[in-house]
Amino acid sequence: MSETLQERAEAATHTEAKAAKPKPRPASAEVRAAVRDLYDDYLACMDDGEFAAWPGFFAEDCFYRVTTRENVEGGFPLSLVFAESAAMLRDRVRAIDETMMFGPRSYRRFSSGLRVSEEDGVIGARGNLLVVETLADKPSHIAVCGRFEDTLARRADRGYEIVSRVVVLDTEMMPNSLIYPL
Amino acid sequence: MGHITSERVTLMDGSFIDQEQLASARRWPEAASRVPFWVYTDKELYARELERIFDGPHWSYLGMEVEVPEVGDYRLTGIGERSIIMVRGEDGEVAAFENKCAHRGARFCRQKTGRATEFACPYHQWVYGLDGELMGVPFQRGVKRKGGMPKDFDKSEHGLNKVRVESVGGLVWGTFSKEAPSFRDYLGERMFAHYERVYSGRKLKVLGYNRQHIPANWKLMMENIKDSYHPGLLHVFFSTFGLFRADQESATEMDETGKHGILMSRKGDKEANDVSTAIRSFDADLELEDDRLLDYKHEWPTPQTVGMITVFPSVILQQQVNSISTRQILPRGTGGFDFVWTHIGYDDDDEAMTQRRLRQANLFGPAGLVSADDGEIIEFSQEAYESAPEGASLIEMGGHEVENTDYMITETAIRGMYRYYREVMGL
Repeated sequence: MSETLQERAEAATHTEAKAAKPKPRPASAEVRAAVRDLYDDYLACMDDGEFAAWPGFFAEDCFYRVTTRENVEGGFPLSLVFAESAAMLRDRVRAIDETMMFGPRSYRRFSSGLRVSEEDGVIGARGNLLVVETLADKPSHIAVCGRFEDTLARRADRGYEIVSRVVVLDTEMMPNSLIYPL
Repeated sequence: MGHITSERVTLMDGSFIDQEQLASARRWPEAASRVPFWVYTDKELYARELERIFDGPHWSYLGMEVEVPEVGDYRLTGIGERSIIMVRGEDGEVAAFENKCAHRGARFCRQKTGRATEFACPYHQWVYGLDGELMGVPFQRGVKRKGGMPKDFDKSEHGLNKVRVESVGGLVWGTFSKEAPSFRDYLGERMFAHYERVYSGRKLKVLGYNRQHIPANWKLMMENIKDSYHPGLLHVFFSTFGLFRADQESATEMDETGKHGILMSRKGDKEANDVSTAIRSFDADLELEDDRLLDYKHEWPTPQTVGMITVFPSVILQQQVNSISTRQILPRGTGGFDFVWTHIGYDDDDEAMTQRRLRQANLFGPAGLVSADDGEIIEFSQEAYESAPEGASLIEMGGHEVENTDYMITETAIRGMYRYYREVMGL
């Protein structure tokens, strides 16, 4: 990969610059429906806690980042979670399962406002994300709130895969830990 | 132990004692190697901590020189529960003052960072200079000779509450105390040498911020980093990948008072041996598929790969492999604190080093493969203390004394902090 990590991060997160550009063209109804299906599957997989299947939604040479508006707006490359390959996503899943210590909990992810665009064969998807966290014996609370900006590509066989996913959280003060992937 | 009203304390058996007797109700256990749970839950004690520790003759971490590079650049930070504005003044030096209008006390500055020529409180537009001096009071002389401030009102007496500031090796420190010694003397020579290993004056570069609110008493975070017994046990990621394990060359040192500490170690490789078999959770079969996460490059003048410094009471200075950060502790009541991580590199890092630091940041912060464990475990501790504050921690690893060690299986630095704490708090 000749691009530097920071360039990739910047390209994926410079939303202010993006906003100044003309709006990306909406994808065809067919593509929109297929991408919606992909996200429905993605959210179902995650909310069911099937994290072993999570990296399978991504291209092998993917880019994944969870960060905050504070970092994006300040131009800082730091992330909460950062991966440069599907292998790194698989490593994180193994670490969550086998090495990390945390109180039992579940996340339920609520996504809204999905917009799917297609420009020069690149499919973009943007939307909001709200994550409700429930710990044993405690009331449910909002863990984080933010948006995602993804790019997707058609798979050789069928369907789509996520090439780049950047989650930018409005939530800058995490309620203690952020354990599971978004 | 019990509920505190304005004049008397109701004990759990229904009887009560007055405030004067409170100190005796809060008697420290006989052994120095015990920490009573009420130090994490008692509101009176917490008020005394804010007064004697955070407002007292102690230096608190404020931020970094590079965060406010130009005149007028400012950044919000904190000392204890107080909001502090750190700003580059007209004279090119970093100054700091409390974010609290001298008029009605509003916390007026709301932007975390920015560039200002002056600071104005929106309530009645009192205006302060970059030095915190009060410059303007609208209608000071009233309107048409009616109203306004009394004639003897002197603006020079109503500036913002100023913080004494020292900038050392790229980090900015602040205290409200005139009595506090210089920052270098505050750290002590031994700790200062460790400090300079990372903060030598080489220009820093901010890589970004992470913030988390941890529902546990602020002292538990200080203790966590002074506790060299836990990393190879709680953090399975550390022990499995050889980053931190009980058989590695390591040391714990303190300043003369015991309030500051450093935990040092030299990483090994992933290997199964007698020590790893003692760690129930050690998993010899665990491998990383993409091991760029552990691509360590030695960049330090000494062989150690880990140097975790606690500067009492406000910050942890992390150097763990190539990941460098400051972790600021801002107490928010007895049962919680805000934990602000500033990840940094050096200004002359090459691209590969910056990428390495950013990858390794996956181990730290609220989603850190290692650090998330700490926020969780101290929450578990706090929960127990809140429900039963009459117990005490057993801090006996490595004996009862406070001494520097060249091994890891010790809690000496926690004992050191509490020896100092009891003295300051009169306990």
